[in-house]
Amino acid sequence: MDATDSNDFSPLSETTLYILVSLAPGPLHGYAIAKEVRALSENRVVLSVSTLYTTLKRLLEAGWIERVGEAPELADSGHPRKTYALTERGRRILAAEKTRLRSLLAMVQKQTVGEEK
Amino acid sequence: MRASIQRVAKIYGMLLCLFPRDFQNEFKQEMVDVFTANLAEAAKTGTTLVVRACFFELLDLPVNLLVEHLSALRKGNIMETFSYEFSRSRAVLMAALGMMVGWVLINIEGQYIHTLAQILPYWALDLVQTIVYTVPVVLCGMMLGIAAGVGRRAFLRIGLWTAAGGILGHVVTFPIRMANTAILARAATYPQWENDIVGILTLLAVLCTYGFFNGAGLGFAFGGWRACMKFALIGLAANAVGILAGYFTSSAITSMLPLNYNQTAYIITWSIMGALSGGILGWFFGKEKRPEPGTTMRAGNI
Repeated sequence: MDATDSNDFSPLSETTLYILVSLAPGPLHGYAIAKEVRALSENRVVLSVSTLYTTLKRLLEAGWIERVGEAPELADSGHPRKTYALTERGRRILAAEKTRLRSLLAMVQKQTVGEEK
Repeated sequence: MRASIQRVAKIYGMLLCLFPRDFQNEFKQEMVDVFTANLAEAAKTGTTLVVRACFFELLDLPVNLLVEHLSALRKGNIMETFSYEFSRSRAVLMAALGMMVGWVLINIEGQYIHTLAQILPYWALDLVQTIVYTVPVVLCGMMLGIAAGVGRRAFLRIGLWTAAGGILGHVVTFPIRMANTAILARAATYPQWENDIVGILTLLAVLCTYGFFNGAGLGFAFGGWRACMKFALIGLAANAVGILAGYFTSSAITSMLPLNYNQTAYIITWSIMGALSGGILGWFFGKEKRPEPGTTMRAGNI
């Protein structure tokens, strides 16, 4: 997949973008993803469990993320927590989105020079 | 608090049975775990936040359910539910029994509706009726489930989908029921035969609509989207036949009996109606042949 392919998926939805960004530093389990998204967005984006998992399912199907094993700590139910990580494809998509957002910001800044005062 | 959280999480787990089977298999346990962790986190701050977290989940659930079912439909993965191979005689018997018990309950509720109307506000009265009218189809689905020998998880699915069908049916028929109430209020100014015709037509319209949605819920519980429309139409037809039979037999019997026995006659005849509509549903639902050994649903293969 080249950069053009990545551009086909832009712009990403806010939920998808936050989930991908939360996974950028390393693998996380579902609960940690939800908490990370909340922290990254400064409590502005709160994912419900059903939204989180329907989005994770779609990202798994698209091959942007993958299951990479189980977290060392168990859930309250005693079940292992499955962890998710970005795939190479997911990283490319995220990089393409970053480029898009950067150029968008540059354009907005250029057009609104002097308005911020 | 911990015990309450576990109980709420259990209910949440039950609601997740409404997701397509594949989705449940892959994510249900994880979702329940994350939900429990969310509630435990909220509980550290206070009960209000726990309630808020629950409502937040509940409000978001229907949209995600719809999205996942549409996604399953797009993929052609519409028969993700179980097979319903069981003999016709068993299906007829069980469906009829379920419907009959349900209709007896509706009739008993009918005896007390005027008393309830005096003590309950309208919305509460309508809620009671929604629940009571949902009972026959849930019972019918459960009995069909017994006939098919389904397991515990499948039972929950049948219960939830048939209840959803019943509630939707009640909501959709609201305008017709309101119109009927308005007509009844002016009944004294019309000739009796006109009131009778309006009565039976309203009853047919309301209960056939119920039948349509109840059948749709039942079909979805057993056979996914593909069976949904088929069973909706069967439900409609079953109700139409049952209502007409029940209406005329009850009119005939009550006119022959002394007034004291009217209520008993009503219960008996509406039970016959329940048996008829349940029987028709079961007739279409069951298969011609008895299933070969091993084809009957078992808890292990759902």
